[in-house]
Amino acid sequence: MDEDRTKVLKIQKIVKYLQGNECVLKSQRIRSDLSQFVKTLRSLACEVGLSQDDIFTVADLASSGKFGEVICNSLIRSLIPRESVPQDAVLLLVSRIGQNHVSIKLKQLILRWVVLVFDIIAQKNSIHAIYGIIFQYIDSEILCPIVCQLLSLLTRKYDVLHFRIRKLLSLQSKIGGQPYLCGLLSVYRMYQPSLISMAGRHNVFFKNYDKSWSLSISGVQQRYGLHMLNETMSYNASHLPQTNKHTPLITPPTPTMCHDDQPLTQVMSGKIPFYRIKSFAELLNNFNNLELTCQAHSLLSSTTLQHLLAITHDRTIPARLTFWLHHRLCEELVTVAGETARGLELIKCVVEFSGFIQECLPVCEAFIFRYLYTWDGQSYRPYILKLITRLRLLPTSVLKDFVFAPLRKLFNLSSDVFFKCSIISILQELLSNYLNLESDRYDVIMNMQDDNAAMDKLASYMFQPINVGKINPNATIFQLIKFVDFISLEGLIETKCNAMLMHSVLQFYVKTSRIYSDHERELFTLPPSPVVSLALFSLSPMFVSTMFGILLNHTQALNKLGKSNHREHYHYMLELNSYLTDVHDTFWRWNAFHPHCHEDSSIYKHIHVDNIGQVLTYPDVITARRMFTIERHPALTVHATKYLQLLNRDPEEMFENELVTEPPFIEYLETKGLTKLTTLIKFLRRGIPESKTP
Amino acid sequence: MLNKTWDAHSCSPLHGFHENTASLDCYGRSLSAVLVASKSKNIGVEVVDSSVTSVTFKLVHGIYGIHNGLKFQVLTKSGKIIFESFLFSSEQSLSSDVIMASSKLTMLPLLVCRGDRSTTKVVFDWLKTEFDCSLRKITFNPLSLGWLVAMWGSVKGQGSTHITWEIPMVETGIDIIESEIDGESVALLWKHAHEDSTMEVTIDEVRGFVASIEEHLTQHTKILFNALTMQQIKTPVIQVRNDGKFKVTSGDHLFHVMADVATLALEHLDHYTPTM
Repeated sequence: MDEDRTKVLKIQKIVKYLQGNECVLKSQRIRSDLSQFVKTLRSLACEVGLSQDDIFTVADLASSGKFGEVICNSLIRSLIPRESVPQDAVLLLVSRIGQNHVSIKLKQLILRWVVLVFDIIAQKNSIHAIYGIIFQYIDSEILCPIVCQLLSLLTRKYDVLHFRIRKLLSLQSKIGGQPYLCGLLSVYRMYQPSLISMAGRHNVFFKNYDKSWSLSISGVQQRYGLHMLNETMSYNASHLPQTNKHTPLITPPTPTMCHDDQPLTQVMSGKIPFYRIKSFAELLNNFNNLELTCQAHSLLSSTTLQHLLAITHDRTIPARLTFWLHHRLCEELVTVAGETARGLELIKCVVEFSGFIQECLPVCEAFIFRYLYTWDGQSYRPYILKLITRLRLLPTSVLKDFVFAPLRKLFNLSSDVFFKCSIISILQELLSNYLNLESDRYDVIMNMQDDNAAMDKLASYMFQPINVGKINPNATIFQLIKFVDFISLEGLIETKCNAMLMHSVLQFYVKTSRIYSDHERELFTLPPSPVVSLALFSLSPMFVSTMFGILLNHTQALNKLGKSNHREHYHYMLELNSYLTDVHDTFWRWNAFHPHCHEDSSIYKHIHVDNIGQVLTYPDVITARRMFTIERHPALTVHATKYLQLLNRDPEEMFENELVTEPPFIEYLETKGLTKLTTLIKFLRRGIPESKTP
Repeated sequence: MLNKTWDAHSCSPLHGFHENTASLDCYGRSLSAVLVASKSKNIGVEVVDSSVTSVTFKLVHGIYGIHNGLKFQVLTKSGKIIFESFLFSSEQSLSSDVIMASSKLTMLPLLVCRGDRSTTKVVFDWLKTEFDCSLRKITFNPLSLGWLVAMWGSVKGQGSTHITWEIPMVETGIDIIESEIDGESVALLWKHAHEDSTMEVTIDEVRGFVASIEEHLTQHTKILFNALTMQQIKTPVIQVRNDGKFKVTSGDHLFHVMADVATLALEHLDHYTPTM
């Protein structure tokens, strides 16, 4: 802050010097001094900006004709405001433009400066008052473009007068349809559309002359200023929709142009056209009589209208919307590679709408299937993934070919771990979606099809097709889980058990382990054995704990199921038993890599336990068998050592004693968040066989 | 309509389209007003000095009795036609008949037009806002072209069929290959590919038909025709390019041919790929 103050003081000194009379002496030394001072002033202004008084003084000096052309140029360029520009300074400069001692180039520079700082001028009432004077400058050829730009910023409704319009039109006929003239005319037309009937066909009306200058101004403003200026200094009339590429995608609602011949019929039918409704209360009152817009897709433009769309009785509206969506999705997304702004807008709208009605539109489904074939995994990624989570229950072959195959390709070929994790998490969301919503919906529809009289109730689900084939929801869900098993294994192998991926995979399995307890659906799948062993032997205590939790959930589900149903899920029970036995052996009974592993072991299958057992043994320290017990597991030794340090005991004790028998150790583990671990310890200590009901 | 080149577009169902003459007049007036308004939006220097006077909408009755087609033209003061267009229906209809029959949706899947670009754009925009339809340019895929050859290549006594193939690579020095097949050979090939008893034509039959033509040519010229894309077909009745332009040359079978093209437009419009 101090250096800022010194800079400010320096600026003031320079300004004072310039005001004095010595600097206009003709000697060589003074002239070089002068240019040095002005350069310093300019660089300081770029750094800290000028205060309001300084701006006024410098502006006065620059336009007073006291100095030469170059100096005046630099002075104007150094008019970078710190807070805001006093309107007196602008007034002074504009009035000086009309005088002869200011050169034409300087006049142009002054006007360019005014345009650049237009938004920072404190109050503009006197500037508006001299609108007419500024308008006169339009005659000069050099000044005309920049004057038009300034006027387009300055124009208000009562400035648009007949003689001014006539003048502009005559100018246009003289010099042709120049972009700046069209820009000004379009601003005039905005205020008085009846007086002007043409528009220019230009994309950009006013050229941006001074980019670096405006950058330095915005830089200073950001540091010190009042932040009234927005970054890009956009002008209001610069972008009017011209070509097809810029027309808005979803037009606001409009009524049809052609009504019946007699206006009376319209009144008599009691329908109220849409544009008459001004508030939500009126909408509710007149709900039955509403005449909807002629373009179905305009109903997507706001949430109120989307409400209307969701509960309308008119069955043509979904059909029309479907056609429009199909057309636009094909045009903007399928045929165009990469992302475009219009495509982004469209797909955002679609995602929002399907979130709003909690359904997947059939046309979106068809679009997703088509799009996934050629998707590169990058464009519109969050939106496409969101749409995938909304898919309905589909037959397994459809799901396999159209969704899983492309996703698998992308999963394997992409080296981005984050992408892999996001795929797994959206599949998890799809699973929960299926479990929560879709199966119910499917059941309702299947029941309704049998009962023809209830077909009308289908209107509650807006977009469901009438003819739905027979699907087995359990089969579809099962296939989804199997697919995730498969790709998660591939992913874990490829990324060498990346922690983030492992976490997403484990969360998925937590979800599957709770299918029965949360949703009462008898669908039991265990994680594949490589994943289980990766988790149990990993170096992170959280993973070990989560895997324990998963196995616990499965046990509880099986207990809840009841003994009578055990026969149907026999193989599941066997598999769970073998996992639990392995856990018991490894973590409790000092039997890891036991040469005579239990025959039903899942984890130790196909492993040459003898070799591994020998490799892992460190004589006099630890044997392989004992190595993975709870306190000696590589993931958990940290906690064991810390616990012992806390109690000021010798850390070597962990190799000797049985810490798990000490309740304080168990409490310590619980405080560290490894609750599942402790629950499993208690479970194992009770020694209750796993598959009997309590 | 004959002997002029038309652009084919597929058109989704029109909502709120009424056929009585009063409505048609109303549409005509509205469209001409829109066209006049759009012309006056040009910049001050006028480049085009034709002005639009009238738009006429007319119903065209086909062979099926019910509403089949619509024709509208844009005329200038001097009577010159600067834009004309037809809308055709086909004999099939979309899957959800319930919705079609009960409501105000009119199904006219094929729109053919010719005229200058600015007028075309204004007319399309008006159609989209007025009737809530979507218009898309049709690209005919080789199967569709093959089907048209099979249907219309064997009209007796009227000459032979030309098929043009496009070479996809640039460096070979050849752009296109044209082949000429006699009408009777086409009839013979099609008889082998397709069973006469049924009216339905399956995709496999058309594929087989096209494959047989290609194989024959490959045998004789040692160029692999199944790797080339079909660009244009010229049957005695209709000439079609794969980018949507076509020309009808014989007036005898006009309605049938247009019905076939309309069926293709319907396929282009139909959006369900997997079926439940």
